[in-house]
Amino acid sequence: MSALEWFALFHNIKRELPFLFPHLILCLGIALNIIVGAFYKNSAIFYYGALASAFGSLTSYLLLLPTLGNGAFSIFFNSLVIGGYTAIGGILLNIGLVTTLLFIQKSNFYPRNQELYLLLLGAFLGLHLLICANQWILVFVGTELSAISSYCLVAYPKGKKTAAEAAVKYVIYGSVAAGVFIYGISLLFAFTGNLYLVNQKQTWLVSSLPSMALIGAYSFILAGLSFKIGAFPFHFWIADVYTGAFSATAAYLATSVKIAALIFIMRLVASLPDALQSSVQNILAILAIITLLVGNIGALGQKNYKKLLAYSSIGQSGFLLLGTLAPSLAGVLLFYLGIYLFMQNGAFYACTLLAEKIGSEYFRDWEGKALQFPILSIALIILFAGLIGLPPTAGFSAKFNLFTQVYILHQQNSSSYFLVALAIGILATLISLYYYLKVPAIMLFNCMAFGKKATPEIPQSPSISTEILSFSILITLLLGIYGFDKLIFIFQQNFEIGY
Amino acid sequence: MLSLLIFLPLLSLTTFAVLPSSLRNSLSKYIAIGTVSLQTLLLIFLATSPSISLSSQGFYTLEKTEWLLINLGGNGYLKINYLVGIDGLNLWLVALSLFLLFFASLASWHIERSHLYFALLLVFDTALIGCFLALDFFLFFLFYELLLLPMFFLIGGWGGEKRTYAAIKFFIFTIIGSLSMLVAIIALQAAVIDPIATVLKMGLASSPETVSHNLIDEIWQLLAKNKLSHPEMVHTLEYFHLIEPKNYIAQAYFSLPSIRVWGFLGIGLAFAIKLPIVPFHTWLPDAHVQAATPISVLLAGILLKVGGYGLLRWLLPIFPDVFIELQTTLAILAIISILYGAFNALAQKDLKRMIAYSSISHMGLVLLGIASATPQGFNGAVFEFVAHGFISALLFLLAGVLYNRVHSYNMSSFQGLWNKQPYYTFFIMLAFFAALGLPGFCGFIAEFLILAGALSSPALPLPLTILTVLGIIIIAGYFLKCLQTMFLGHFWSEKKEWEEKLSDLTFFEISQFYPFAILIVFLGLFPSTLLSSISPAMQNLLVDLEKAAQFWFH
Repeated sequence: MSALEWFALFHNIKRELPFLFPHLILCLGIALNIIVGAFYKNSAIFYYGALASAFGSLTSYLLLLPTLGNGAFSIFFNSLVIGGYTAIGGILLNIGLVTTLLFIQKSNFYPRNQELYLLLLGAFLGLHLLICANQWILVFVGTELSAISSYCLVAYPKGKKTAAEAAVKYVIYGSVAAGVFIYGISLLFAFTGNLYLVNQKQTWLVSSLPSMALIGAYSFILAGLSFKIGAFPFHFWIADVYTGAFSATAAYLATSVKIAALIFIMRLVASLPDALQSSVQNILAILAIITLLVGNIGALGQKNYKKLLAYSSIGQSGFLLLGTLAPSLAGVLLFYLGIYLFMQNGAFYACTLLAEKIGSEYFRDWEGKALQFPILSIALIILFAGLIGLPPTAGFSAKFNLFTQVYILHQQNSSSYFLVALAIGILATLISLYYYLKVPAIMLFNCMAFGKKATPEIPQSPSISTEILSFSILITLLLGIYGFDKLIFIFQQNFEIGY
Repeated sequence: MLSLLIFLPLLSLTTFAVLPSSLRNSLSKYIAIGTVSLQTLLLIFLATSPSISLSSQGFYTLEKTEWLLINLGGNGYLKINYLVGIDGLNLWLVALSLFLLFFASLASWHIERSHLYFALLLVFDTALIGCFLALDFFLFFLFYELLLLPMFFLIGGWGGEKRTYAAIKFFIFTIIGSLSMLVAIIALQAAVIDPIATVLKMGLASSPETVSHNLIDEIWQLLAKNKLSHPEMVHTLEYFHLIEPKNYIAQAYFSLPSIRVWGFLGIGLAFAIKLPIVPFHTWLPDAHVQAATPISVLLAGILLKVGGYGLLRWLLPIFPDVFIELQTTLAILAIISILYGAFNALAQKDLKRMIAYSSISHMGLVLLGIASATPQGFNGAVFEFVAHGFISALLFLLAGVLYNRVHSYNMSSFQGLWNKQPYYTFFIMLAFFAALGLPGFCGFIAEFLILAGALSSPALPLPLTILTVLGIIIIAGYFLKCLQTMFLGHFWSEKKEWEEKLSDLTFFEISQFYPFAILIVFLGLFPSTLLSSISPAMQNLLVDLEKAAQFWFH
């Protein structure tokens, strides 16, 4: 390379570097964590370090937002695309990181040390990479970086038997899914000769290729991604892993990982050439339908709060998959993801605290405890109402918009898959009602036994920290009646700018 | 003003959070009663204000605020306004709600864990009044769903032995209806546009006041010719736009007769479950019997009316054509409800269960009145809302008295209560006679109007009306049978120790029952107090229905 070319390269990097700041701040956090960890063992400093890098990353995304409002930037030789949706996804992920950190910090039973924070930062770096990667190799790097960190997070802490078992299951399923995923990528590479997500040449090639082959490749890719979001066909690990892992890890797996993977699927659908769009949409609709049924029916009989939340999160993945059916649903999907982050984390947190205080993960021991833990019970009712989608919670506004958009989609291309998906979505809402409401019902009804005295009121321990809960509830209630229309509109616009 | 009426309970709920927990338990009932009284005063103030004439057609007063504007991508917008209004149809239902809420609160004076109970009751209050006043289908749906959660916990938390089962059954039945209504709402919003907002969106006018009739006519013509472009359409769920057939997009699903039937059935299912119409009634006996007395009062007295109100306010005006086609079917369903409820009530051994089944019969009468599509039938149906509200509430309160004394509803365990409890027997006789439709009581007026409507309606064959009369005779039969077995003759009770417990009504109880008794007789003698404002509204509704149906048939 001549000096001039070197100079041009350097100049480009200098111009493009600011877009990477959110990622670099996380990298900096990781590096500092390792360096400080060599000398210092007190966990508090690592917690604040991780929190600082999360907020740093959040701030740099917020600062990027005005620039991104004008259009998307593809940087580093088109390997990354930074657009409006990246900023929104990144902000959501950083909120997820902060929530997970708070969750870990506020759970008394969670042993904390340096590696934990290192792994978390690593996992989130992978997720951040995933939402803006424009090249399949980078996509794979992103998924695997987060997956490998997650394997270790599930196994954490060392020596806990159930966690180790869960981690082994997770690794095995994860490797299979990664294999399927990369097989799909290699097929795509073989057909089109390039590894970019958005590429003119690919569009041109597609018309000359047998569509079945490409659909096969995309099916493999979607199957691999379904592992990330815990959807059919790779949903089997969810229940076991959530049960074995700590709640904070399970909550992280149920929210942040899904956010990144679903935003990526959304981008994938938006980048598809027109000839393929409808076939991939149908595949997604079928995946969503099966996921909705599997998750919601599976949750019906659960007696343990972790299993219930695990299956219900599979069910929620089904709803979220409905949001990836077409680019016009991106705004709703991002909104749903945002409130889902709060509701699911809040539900995990409330349930964990209850289980911890009652001393049992099984609902049969939760009977009639509502009056001992009034704040937690009310929180649980509101958050579960949100997850069901009852008005006036944000869950309802998300589902109302989602169903409306799917209906419009059906009207536009009269594909019966969409109508079936809509019907199954409604049916799934109905099923979810039973298992979500079962929990507050068990807790409330039996403490008000007719003619019987309730269990004596135990003074409530004051150690409940309500940051996560109050924030989740606030978001759940506020966005249920006000402002969701504008938020969805902004998200949609940002997504369209990105593409 | 109307919004204050709706949201006052939520405001007073916030005082619960401020109160120290030691006071919360003892003060909650006063807060609840105070709130309901304040709401009642507000309503009276509203109804007597000089700007309102209760005998006018249409809405007395409306409140409107812009609320949501949902972007539907390439399909335009969905504009949702906060719109509430009051007219002859919902005025008396709101009044009835407040009256029953007041007495239900009084009846739950000594309830356990009262802070929780009254907090739920206040949420229920807001949802109920909101449900009756909302004039945007989305807003209505929000309040309609909000009714569920507090009621679920109220039934499940304070009821009888099998209350959990009853609460879950109630919830699942109602939510099935709600979800089918949700699907219909989604399809409905895709079919209806707001012409004024569309004009504004297209830039043809600058403010809503400057939109002329010609412009709206133009929009309607474009719509009929399928020439309006999608991104400019502003969809709506507002009552006034939903009832105007010209606002429907010609190629939308809900403009095709074969699909409009499904829309009718989808929304109708929700209200059919709520009303309830046989065969969607099975939640009712369980919920009513298992719930605590004040909750049964609210369930039978007012919650069932939400279903009937929904039929009149939403279902018929939106689908007048389907309604007219299905009139006879609805009437047959109504007769089945009447007879089924009556025969079941006849077979019951449990007093509360018998009253619950009698509610099914009476709601069947309401449906018959609605199905007749005559002014008398509609007036009778709305009058029956109020009449049945008072009568069934009084019946449940009276059944609760017996339960409080001896913890039994079993009719064959008692005989000759007349001797021990003359006041109690007096009130029960009054309520029974009112329920079976004796002239002089409000039940008679309602039944008379409904039967007159059914007879004069051309769509309802005569044998149906004759069957109804048979049903009414059976209703009289089981009430009289109950009266005879339980109250007349020599005193006898199943257990010896009950003899002392079966004391007559206390002053507190009598003071609760007298207002009901007075109103039941008063409305029976002077029905025009209500009918003078109900009938203009119903007249208006019928004219609208006929006009819209004419349009749809062409």
